[in-house]
Amino acid sequence: MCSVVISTIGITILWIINWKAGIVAIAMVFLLLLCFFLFTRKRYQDISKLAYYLASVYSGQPTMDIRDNVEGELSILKNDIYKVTLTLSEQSTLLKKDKQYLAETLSNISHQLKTPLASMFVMADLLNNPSLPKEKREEFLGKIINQLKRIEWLVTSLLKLSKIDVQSVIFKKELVSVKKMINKALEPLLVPMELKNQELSFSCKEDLFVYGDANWTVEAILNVIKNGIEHTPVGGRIAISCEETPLYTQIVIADSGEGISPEDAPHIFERFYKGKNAGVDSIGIGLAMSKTILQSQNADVFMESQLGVGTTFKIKFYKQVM
Amino acid sequence: MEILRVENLSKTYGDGETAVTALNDISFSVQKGEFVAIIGPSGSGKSTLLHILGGVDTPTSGKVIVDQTDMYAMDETALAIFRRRQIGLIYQFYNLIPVLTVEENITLPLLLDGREVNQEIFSGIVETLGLQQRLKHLPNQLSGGQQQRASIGRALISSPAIVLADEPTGNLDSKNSAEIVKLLKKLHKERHQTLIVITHDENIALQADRIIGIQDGRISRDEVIRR
Repeated sequence: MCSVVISTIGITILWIINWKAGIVAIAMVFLLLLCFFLFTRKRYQDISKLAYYLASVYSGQPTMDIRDNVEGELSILKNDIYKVTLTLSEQSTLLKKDKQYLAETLSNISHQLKTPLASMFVMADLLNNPSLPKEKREEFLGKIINQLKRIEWLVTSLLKLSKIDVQSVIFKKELVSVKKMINKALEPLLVPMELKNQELSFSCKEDLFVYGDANWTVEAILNVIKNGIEHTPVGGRIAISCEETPLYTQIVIADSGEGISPEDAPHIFERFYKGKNAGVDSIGIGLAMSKTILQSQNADVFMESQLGVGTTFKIKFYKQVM
Repeated sequence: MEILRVENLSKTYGDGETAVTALNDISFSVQKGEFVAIIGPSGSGKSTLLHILGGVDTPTSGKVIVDQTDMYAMDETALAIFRRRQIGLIYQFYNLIPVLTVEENITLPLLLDGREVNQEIFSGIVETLGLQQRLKHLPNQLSGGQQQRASIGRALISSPAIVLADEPTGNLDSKNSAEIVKLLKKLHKERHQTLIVITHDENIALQADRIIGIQDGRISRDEVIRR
């Protein structure tokens, strides 16, 4: 407003001095006013576009690209708003995923607990009958104990996993012998292996050491070997060997089992995933736990498999670099 | 969420009999928040790839899509502005401007954009980098490790969509290298920053979430190490 008053005064003075110059001055002022008006209108349009965009984001529309990559503060503002909305939408997708994962896990756990419980109910009912012969009674009791053991294993495994997940487990970092760990993992497995008449070959150098937590790592190795035993037929072969490279030390566990089909292969380390060939009692948590334990200690486990030939698991302990 | 997608990227230098194919039909994608290492022997095309990802070199054919934007469909000016806002680059030889102080070097991307420096973000980055006492120094008054830290700060100041590092430890001794890698890992973790590091050092690559191997201009391996 002030500028209009000043220019009017200016024009009047000019007009008095020379009327031609006055006309030119009037034209110039109008031109300026027009530019100002057009520029302001453009700016308001841009801002209302931004407001419209924000409103649509607020109402849950997917974010679209509003960046125009030109100079100027309005473009910077668009860029920053885009970044913020993108971060927000990313977070909400992550939250949704977490929620879904939680629901799936809960339903998996309940399912795993429900099956043995149902069979135990039936057997307890049968045991209730006083005229049941003694040998039948013992058979049912044995079955109930087996189911209880399975539930116990499931619950302790889940507890361990959740402890690792919330990072309340402190993994020790001590120098441990690879051979000793494998021997320890094999101890409880020798009997099932003998029952299935499987041949074990084991070669490992005495002087191979890695940094890690012996107890947890033994558990991880045990689960991998156990998986191999379960999926190898009677009379099959399990071969365990170790080797060292400048970057990692690895344990190779090869079985002569049925192999893992290509559809199952990418998922076998997922929790509660059961492949097509999974046993009746399989829960799908052993390999997942191995992976979690190893990954928490700068190590990892990988799998290669050929249908009908066998499966090879490689446990790699990366050397401490940094 | 996908932050970077490379589609059938090829790059040939020269033509006729002297043509050299540096990149041959490369495709991959990177999720937001991933820490990817690209490894390969010298001459494998990894630096060419990084330059194309960073918008400093143009591909012969193929697409690079950063944060839903096809980089090479834009004109020069738009690309320069896009690069300034969305991509942070860390070089082997730091490429700090010798006549500007550390503070000016770090805030350069913002000054180029004509925006004010947010002091909170700035001091947060400087603190993580441990450069509080060095802000008024010129680059040649700093050690190699400190100069590299300043260039990391410059790459991060505009909160870019991706940070690209070309042999960030190539010019440093092992102690300083370890420190820089630790710093990159920390930034990746705390800020959920997408990070792509090019290196020929497998030790550094093993710190990443994922390793992409390049040989003779092609992807020879793509392995997720940790999730």
